[in-house]
Amino acid sequence: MLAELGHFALLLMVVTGIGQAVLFSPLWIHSSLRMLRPQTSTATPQGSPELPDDDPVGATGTAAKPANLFLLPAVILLLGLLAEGALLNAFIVSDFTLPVVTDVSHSSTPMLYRIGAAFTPDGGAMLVWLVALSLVNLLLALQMGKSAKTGDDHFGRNALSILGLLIAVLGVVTLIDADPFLRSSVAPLDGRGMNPQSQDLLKVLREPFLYLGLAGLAGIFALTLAGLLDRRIDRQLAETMRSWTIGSWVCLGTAIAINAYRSYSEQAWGGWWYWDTAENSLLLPWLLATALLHCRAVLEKTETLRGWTAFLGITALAVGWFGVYLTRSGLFVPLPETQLLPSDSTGLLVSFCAVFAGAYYLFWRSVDQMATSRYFEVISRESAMFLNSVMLALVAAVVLIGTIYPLVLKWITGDPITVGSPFYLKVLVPIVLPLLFLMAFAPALRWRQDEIWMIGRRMKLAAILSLITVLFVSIRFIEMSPAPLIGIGLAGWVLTASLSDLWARLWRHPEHGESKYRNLQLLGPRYVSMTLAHIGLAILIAGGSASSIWEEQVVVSARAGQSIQAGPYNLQYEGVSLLAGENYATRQATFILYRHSLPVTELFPEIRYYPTRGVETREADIWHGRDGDLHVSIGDRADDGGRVVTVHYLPMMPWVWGGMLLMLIGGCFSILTRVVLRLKNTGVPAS
Amino acid sequence: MIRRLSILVSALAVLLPVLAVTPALAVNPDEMLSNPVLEERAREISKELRCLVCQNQSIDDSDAELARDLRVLVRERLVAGDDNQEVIDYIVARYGDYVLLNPPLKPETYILWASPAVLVVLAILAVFAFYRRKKRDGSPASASLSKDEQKRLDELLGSSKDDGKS
Repeated sequence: MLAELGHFALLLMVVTGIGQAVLFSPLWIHSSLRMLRPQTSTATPQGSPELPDDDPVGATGTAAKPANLFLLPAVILLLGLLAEGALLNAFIVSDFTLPVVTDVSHSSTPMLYRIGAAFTPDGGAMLVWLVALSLVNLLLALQMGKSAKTGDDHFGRNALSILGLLIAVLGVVTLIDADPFLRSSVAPLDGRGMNPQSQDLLKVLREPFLYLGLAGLAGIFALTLAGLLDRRIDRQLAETMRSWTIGSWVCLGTAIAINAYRSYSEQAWGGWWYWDTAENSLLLPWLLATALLHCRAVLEKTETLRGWTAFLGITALAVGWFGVYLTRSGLFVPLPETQLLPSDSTGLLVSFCAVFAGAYYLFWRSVDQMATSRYFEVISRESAMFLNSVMLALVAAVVLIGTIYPLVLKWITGDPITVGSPFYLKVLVPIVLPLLFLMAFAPALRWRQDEIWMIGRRMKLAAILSLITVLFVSIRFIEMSPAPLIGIGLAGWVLTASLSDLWARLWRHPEHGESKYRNLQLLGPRYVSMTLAHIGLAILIAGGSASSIWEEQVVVSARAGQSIQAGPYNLQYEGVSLLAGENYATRQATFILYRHSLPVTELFPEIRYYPTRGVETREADIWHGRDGDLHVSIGDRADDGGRVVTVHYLPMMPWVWGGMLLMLIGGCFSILTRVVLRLKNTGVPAS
Repeated sequence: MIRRLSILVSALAVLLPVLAVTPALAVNPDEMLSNPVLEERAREISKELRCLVCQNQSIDDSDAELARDLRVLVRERLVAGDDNQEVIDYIVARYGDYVLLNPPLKPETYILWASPAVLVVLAILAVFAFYRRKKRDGSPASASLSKDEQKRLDELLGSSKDDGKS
């Protein structure tokens, strides 16, 4: 019964979504119509007062209290939560009359993973996306309601009506492609069980973060389109978009980090990035969100790069949506090991084409009228950020081509090819290295205009230090291939540049009468979060390059009591025991880890067997030490009766995880300080 | 508790026959060649070949049975005296270009390999055009503030003074 209620809530969500799209913006339709007419008048002046006059309905709408702005979004969110709750309930009570539940759950699946399993099938994932969208919808309505007090709110109404339209479209796609609430007439005795590879706490968290990130990008998309409709891609829009860009950047980054760590800890060989479709479709929106993050800052400061920022705002969602289509469509899953069911994602593709054809048409029609009279010199901070965003977009374009090229080729010639990591490394390294080189300049440059010799003076220390690093590393490891060495050198360059800029700001000579802490206050939350993120990236690059060079692998057939040497570590194999997990049986090996003959810890790599699907999974165990990760996994019995043990010693690998974490902390810091400032400001009575 | 036990028992019942067979792990010690130079070369070659049933993983990284067969095949060819390219050609002749992680340069992939270079050139041209147009159309940023900016600055300064007092 609850499932039917959820189904009904989903249907109502579509209806209210359409309702929001139509009701909130008669102006939206009106101004689209006006845009289709041949342009005679020049661009409307900012905050044009004539718009309400055009449409009496709109005028009465705007005159009404701002409270009605968030009534509909709240209803939509409630409906979404109701639908999600109904689906979760079906999974919790294991209602096998629903085919979705049968496909990915089993009565023996632990409660936590039953809830997690609700996010994995097509319908469930779409529902998570819808709920995330309606959350973004409500937050945007609250934000718009706040700014609406100061003046006309038709901008906010346009944005909300676009979001309402997106919710309706995705709701319809869910109902057509993969309706999670359909019942089957005959209920099976039990389900097929969750995909064992997904039975992991981190993996369960990945989907909500991914879809929250995509929903945030949808918010940006709606704001950008609303700005384009008004031809107002300006400072105010950039300020509105700020939290949304950082928020979705953090969410997508978290999803990527989770994905990388999961493939690292699940597999036997210590790799963490394979350039497969699922990973690429996470990476693409994140790359464009990063580019957008920087262009938005330029837009906010100087009101330049209007067209480019708007383009990125639309394209970030486009690649995210397309990525969801690629992973969901199953076009790339090689047979026959697939655990996924064949699914129909035509609706997702058709709606993608329709939505973005409209969006890019609007962009194309209005971008010419946003020519700005301001400009910046080639040597300026805007310039550095602009060039970086162009390179990020280039990286994204290459990844996209690499991802879809095999598909297109197979479709045209029927000849399958593979585009794997050697291709990406060969092609991307020449783009990423200059990107890193330029990245270090941005914080030290001045806005609008700067002099080359001034930068030279500011970057002197960083240049010398990073040159020393490069020389030291390349002399010591002369036989290594140059690309990782250059990677390390450039990571050092970014790191020292960030630190020396921070140093220079902290030791600025205080003016007379200023407090000692004035320099610290002057840094500001934005600068701190940027520095954290840049340092994080530098550490990540250094760790990734170093571990790829100095990685050591040992594969042996071990017997109980045997010790295995890897790097500074010594592993003693104690044997394997058979244990029962919650819904699996496991062969768990015990290792005692010694470092320079002092015991450090015990490690327990496993092979799990999930009887519901008859699938084995491997769980490596990892020790994150000071100088590197020790990654142990076990295999089956070798021919000589020993146990196959694979040990990887990956020096500086903790730097990779630490760097990712630092980038995310940087983003969170920026959001948190903004929230705290908000709360503080609202606490003070308005002047 | 009883439920747990029953799960364990049923799991073990299914597990026991599985334990008897020998599935493969990425690079088993018994696959390895005793000659370290040949083994090193086998590793190098394996990095370029994909496991046919996994997502973009090399055969060196894969647990799949098919990947194991390929690894063994690579080593057999090396022992037979083939050089690296001959081994790869041997495998491509049997499994097609699909096994190569690094797509080969042939008429079908010209566009793939050319696209990054073309994109870079296009991006450079676009950036040049952008700066030239800016120079021609835009007025340089004036050092003094516009009226709006001055007003906003006054507002901000005023409010920060208030903050200082309170």
